[in-house]
Amino acid sequence: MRKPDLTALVTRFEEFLGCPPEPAGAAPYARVTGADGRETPAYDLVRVLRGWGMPESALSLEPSATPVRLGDAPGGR
Amino acid sequence: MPKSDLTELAVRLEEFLGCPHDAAGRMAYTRIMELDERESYPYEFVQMLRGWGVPEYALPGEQGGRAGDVEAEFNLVRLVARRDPATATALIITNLAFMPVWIAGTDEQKRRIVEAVKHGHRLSWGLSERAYGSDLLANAMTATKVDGGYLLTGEKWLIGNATWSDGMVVFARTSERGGTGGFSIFVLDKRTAPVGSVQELPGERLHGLRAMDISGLKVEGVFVPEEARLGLEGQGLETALKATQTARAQISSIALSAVDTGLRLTLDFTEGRIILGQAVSDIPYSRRQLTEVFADLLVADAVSLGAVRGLQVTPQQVSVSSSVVKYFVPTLLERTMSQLAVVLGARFFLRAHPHYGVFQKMLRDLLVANFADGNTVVNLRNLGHQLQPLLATAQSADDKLRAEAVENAAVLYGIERSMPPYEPWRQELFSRGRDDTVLAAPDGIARLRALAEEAKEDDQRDWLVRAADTAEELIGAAAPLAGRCEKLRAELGRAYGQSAELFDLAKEYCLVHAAAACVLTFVHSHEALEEPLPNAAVLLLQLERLRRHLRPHEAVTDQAVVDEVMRVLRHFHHEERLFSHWQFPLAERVLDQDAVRS
Repeated sequence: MRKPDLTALVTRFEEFLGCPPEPAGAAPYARVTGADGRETPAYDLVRVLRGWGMPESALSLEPSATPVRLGDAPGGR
Repeated sequence: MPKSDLTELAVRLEEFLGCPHDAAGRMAYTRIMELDERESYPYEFVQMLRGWGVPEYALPGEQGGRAGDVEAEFNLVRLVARRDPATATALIITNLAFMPVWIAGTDEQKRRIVEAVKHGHRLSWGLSERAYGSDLLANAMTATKVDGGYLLTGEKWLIGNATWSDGMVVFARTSERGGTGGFSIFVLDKRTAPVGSVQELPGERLHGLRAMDISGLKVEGVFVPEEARLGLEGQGLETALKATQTARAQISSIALSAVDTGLRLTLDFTEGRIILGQAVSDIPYSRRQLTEVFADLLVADAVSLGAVRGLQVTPQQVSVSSSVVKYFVPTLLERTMSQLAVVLGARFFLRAHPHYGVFQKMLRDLLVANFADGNTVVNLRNLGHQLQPLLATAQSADDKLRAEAVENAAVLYGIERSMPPYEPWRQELFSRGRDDTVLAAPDGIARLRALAEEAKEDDQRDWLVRAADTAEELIGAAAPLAGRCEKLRAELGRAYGQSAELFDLAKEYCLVHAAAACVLTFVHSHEALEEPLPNAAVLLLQLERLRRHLRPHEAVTDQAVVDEVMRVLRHFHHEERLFSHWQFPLAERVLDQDAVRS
C-alpha cells in the first residue's frame, strides 16, 4: 500500500474511533479502564473493531483465503 | 546506636512480624495482597506496628520519643516495607508530618504532640496543592491573622493519610505577596474544628500503594490558635524545605525494600527451576542479571547510608545528599526491578500467584519513591543550582578541607561509628559547595589501594586494584564535568539555570557521588562488615554498574567476578539476610514449596 493510501486508511480509522477521552466515542478510555478495573475482557470494543473490519487487514491474500483488501472492509468505507 | 544494638532491634521486629510467606504470621503476604486488591487501608498492620513502637524511633527522645539515630527508624521501615510498602508509607507519614514540629516547634509543642502521637494521634503533612504541585511559593491556602490566631482557607491535595489522620500540619500563605517570607506552618486539629468546617476530599484510586489513603482536605475559614503555629510567622518555607530534606533522605527505604523482596522472590525461582540440566541461577546470562541486581541494591544501600547518616553528621550538606539519594536511588532501582522481572519471566505478571504474586505489587509500589516528597525534576534542579560551586570545591579544596571531609566521611560511611545527635534545625538549604562524599573520594581510593597491597589472596588483590582503577575513572569525571558546566554557563547565560543540559550534568554528578559512596562504605565499614562482606568482587561489580551509565556496553568484570558475587548473593539468600551492608537476619522463612515450584 502506498503511503497516501495508508495515511487515508489510518485517518478513516482514527475518525471512526474518535478521541479516546471523549466518552461518546467508539472506543473511549472510560470503557477501556472500566473493563480493566473489572478485569473483564473488552468484548464490546473487539466487536466494534471487527465491525469496522480491522481484523481483515491481517487476513492472507493467498488463493486459499478469501481475498480481502483493507479498503474493502464494509465499516472502513 | 551501635551496629549490634540496631541488629538486635531489627531481629526483634523481624521475629515479631514473622515470615511474610507464612499465612499464619502477623504480617502475611496473603492478607497484604487482599488489602491491596480491595484498596483497603491497612489499619490492622499500622495499629500493630504502632503498638510495637516503630514510630517512636522517629520521635525525639528529649520530648518523650525513642529516636536516637535516624538510621534506626530508616531500617525498621525497610523491614516493614519489604512486606508491604503501603503499610510502611501509612506508618511513617505521622513521623514525616512531625518533622516541622521537630524543626521549628517549641519544647512545649513538641512534648504535647509527641504525647498525643504516642497515644494514637495521627498526623498528615499538608504541603502540596492541586494546582501547584511542587511549586511551594505558588501555594494558595491562606492563613489570615485574626485575634488570637488565624483563619485557614484553601485546599491541600494528594496528601497521604489526609482522611485517616486526626490532624494535619499545613503550609499556608500568611502574606498576600507570598515570597520566601510569606508562608507559615500550622497544626490543624481536625477533631476540634467545628463540625463541617473541615472537608475531607475523596480518596484517589492508585496504581501502586493501592491500600493507602491518598486524599486531601478543604477548609473554609477554620480558626487555628496562635500556639498552633510552628516557628515564627514567615518561617514556613525554610521549615518545610528542611522537613522535606529529611523525607527525601528516608524514602529510598521503600524502593530498597521493594527490590529486596523482588530479588528474594526471583532467587526462589532461579535456584529451584532447572532448564537444560542446570538451575536458572547457573545459566551465565541469568546469573549475571541476578548479580547485577544485587550490586545495584548495594550501590543504593551505600548512597542511602551516607544520606541518612548525613542528617546527623553533615546537616549543612543535606541539600546535596538528600537530592542525590532522592533522584538516584528510585531511578536506579526502577530499572533494576525491570531487569529482575525479565529473569522471573511471566510469573511477574501474575497477581494471584501463590508465591510470586507479590512481585507485581512491589513493581507498582516502588514507583512512589520517584515522585513523593519532591520528584526527580525538583531534585535535579536543586542539584543543578549547586553544581558549579560543588564541582569548583571538588577541584580546588585545600588540605584542611579535604582532611575535614575525610574525617566526616569516616563517620558517614562507617556503620560502627557513633554520630552526633540529630538536630534537624541545623540542616541548611544550600551546601556552599561542600559534598564531603565527593571531597573524601580520593582518600577512599588511596585506602582501597592500600587494602589491595595488604590482600592475602591474589584474586581479591586483583579485584581491589581493578575497583580502585574504575573508581578513579568514575570519580575523575568530576574534573571534566566542571569544565562542561562552566562552558554551558558561558554559552547559555541566564538560560543556564533552567537548561535541560544542566539536568544531565546533575545526573552525572550523582554517578560521581554514588561511586564515592561505594568506595567509602567499603573502606570505612571494612572492619565492621560481616562475612562474606566486604568483598572486592562485589565492589568491582557495583562500580561497573555505575560505569555502564556512561559506557553501556563495556565491562570491567569477567565471569570469575560474577561467580564470586553469586557466591555472596547465595549466602545472603540461604542465610536469610537483608540484601544490605547491614545484613540484618530476617524472620525464618516458611515456604510452601509447591507454591514456589508452581
